[in-house]
Amino acid sequence: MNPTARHEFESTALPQLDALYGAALRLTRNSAEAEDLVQDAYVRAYRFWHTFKSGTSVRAWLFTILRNTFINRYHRANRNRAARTDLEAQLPALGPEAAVGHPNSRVPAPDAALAARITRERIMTALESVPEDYRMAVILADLEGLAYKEIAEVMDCPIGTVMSRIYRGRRLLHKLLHDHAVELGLAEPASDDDEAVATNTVHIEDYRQRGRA
Amino acid sequence: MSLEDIRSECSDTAALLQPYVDGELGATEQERVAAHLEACRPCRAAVQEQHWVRATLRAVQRDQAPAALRARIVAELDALDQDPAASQAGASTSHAGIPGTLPHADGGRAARGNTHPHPVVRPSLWSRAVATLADVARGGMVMVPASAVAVGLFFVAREGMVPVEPSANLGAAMSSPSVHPSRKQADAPTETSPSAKPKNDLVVAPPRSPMHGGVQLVHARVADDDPHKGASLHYDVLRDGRPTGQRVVDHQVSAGARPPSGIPVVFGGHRYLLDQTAVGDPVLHYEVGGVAHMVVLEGSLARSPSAQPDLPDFSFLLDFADRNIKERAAETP
Repeated sequence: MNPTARHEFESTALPQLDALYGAALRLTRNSAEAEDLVQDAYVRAYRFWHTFKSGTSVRAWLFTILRNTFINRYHRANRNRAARTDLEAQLPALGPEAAVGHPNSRVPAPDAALAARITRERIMTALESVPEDYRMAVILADLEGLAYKEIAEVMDCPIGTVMSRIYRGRRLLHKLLHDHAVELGLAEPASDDDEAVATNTVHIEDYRQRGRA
Repeated sequence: MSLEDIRSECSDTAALLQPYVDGELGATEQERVAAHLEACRPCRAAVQEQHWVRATLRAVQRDQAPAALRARIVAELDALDQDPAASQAGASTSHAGIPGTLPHADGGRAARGNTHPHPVVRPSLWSRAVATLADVARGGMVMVPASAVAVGLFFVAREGMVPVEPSANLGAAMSSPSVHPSRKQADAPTETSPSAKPKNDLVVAPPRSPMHGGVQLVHARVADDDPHKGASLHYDVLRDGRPTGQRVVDHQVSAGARPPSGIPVVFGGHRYLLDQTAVGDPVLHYEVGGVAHMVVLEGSLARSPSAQPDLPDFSFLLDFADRNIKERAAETP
């Protein structure tokens, strides 16, 4: 590639290295694999740099490549399937069809001070145990600050699906972190209050139908 | 209010809760949800939970890629550069996993990086001029002020590849390919007197946080496929001469094409509207010389909770726009 394109790639795409590496770490849960994944993604991005549309989000473009590279090269190995299945099994416990409206248990109102007492390592471990699609959506939304539209582009799905994945991912994370806080004695255990919530629960189908396209 | 009423109201709002949390609603819907949350404890709890996770993750310290990884990637790029066959082969084989790989009619993009005469057939002289301008702008080899380039690009886009007004600027851009990388670094604030008339808006004081390390034009785009999209200029925000990851994007269309909304303020004698994007990025609207600018600051680590001129991100944008306006006024006879 000529020097101008190289310069442009280095000044536009390479500054996203930390972001891509962070996401790769959360996806692979392994620093060596994360490095390989990011390197592969960058090589692909460089080879196809001429196809990047100027004026569009380079971050969304790179994350798309990262995700596709991950799926192509790493996902087939079916690593960590057990952990994923285990957590997926917890979803029904979070609400009917992972109801979108309300928590089905009265977890005390989240507290900023509590977040400060949970270590970064614990937060990342919790994030890594969330099912992959939810995890990716939460990473892109909350760690990388991408808009719904960009996440939909990266994950190749409708915006309604993006919202639902972020929602479920965050609910799982909240549950995991809250459980952890309870273990440490930092928070009160949740008390079930299904009756009060049942009248106010909005089901996922309603949510999807009303979701912004 | 009966339980039935509550349920129905929640149903109506349910689809808006998630975009509310993520700041993806318009002002009206945002207010509607906020009003509902005031009255509905369960919905409020759901939103608080989502907010809490979001805020917790946003506060987490980011990972840094090992320096060795960067070196490995750069070495890979070198290897690809030295083996064009491999690069070509890669480009012509599978596009799997690469978004948007269909050929497109972006003249500037297609011509990117061709430093010598190339076999690409250009549809017209002006599209070639646009492509060259875009390349010049991307590489930071900008002799003329960015605003002049932008205005040129804009008119080229709007008038079907025929620049109608700032032909002198285009000419200057074409004939002055000297490298002046420091030209776009922000200089000290100028004292040029403002030309626009203040209206009955909030008059704000100069921002206290002047542009830290300045900005550098890294990228210019003209929507030659759709003239209504106008042009956009992308600037990296610098600190100590290095990109901070933040970027200012100056979208330009014909004034009046899409009336902007926002909080009106006057700064430096010029009128602006402060707004935020769907994701909370600060936005500044202003008009000058028949061109409507929408300037967005992307990549802020801590997004401003609302559009206020004294918040750092907004004062940064005001300062940025003020400089551009004065720069343009200075070059107009």
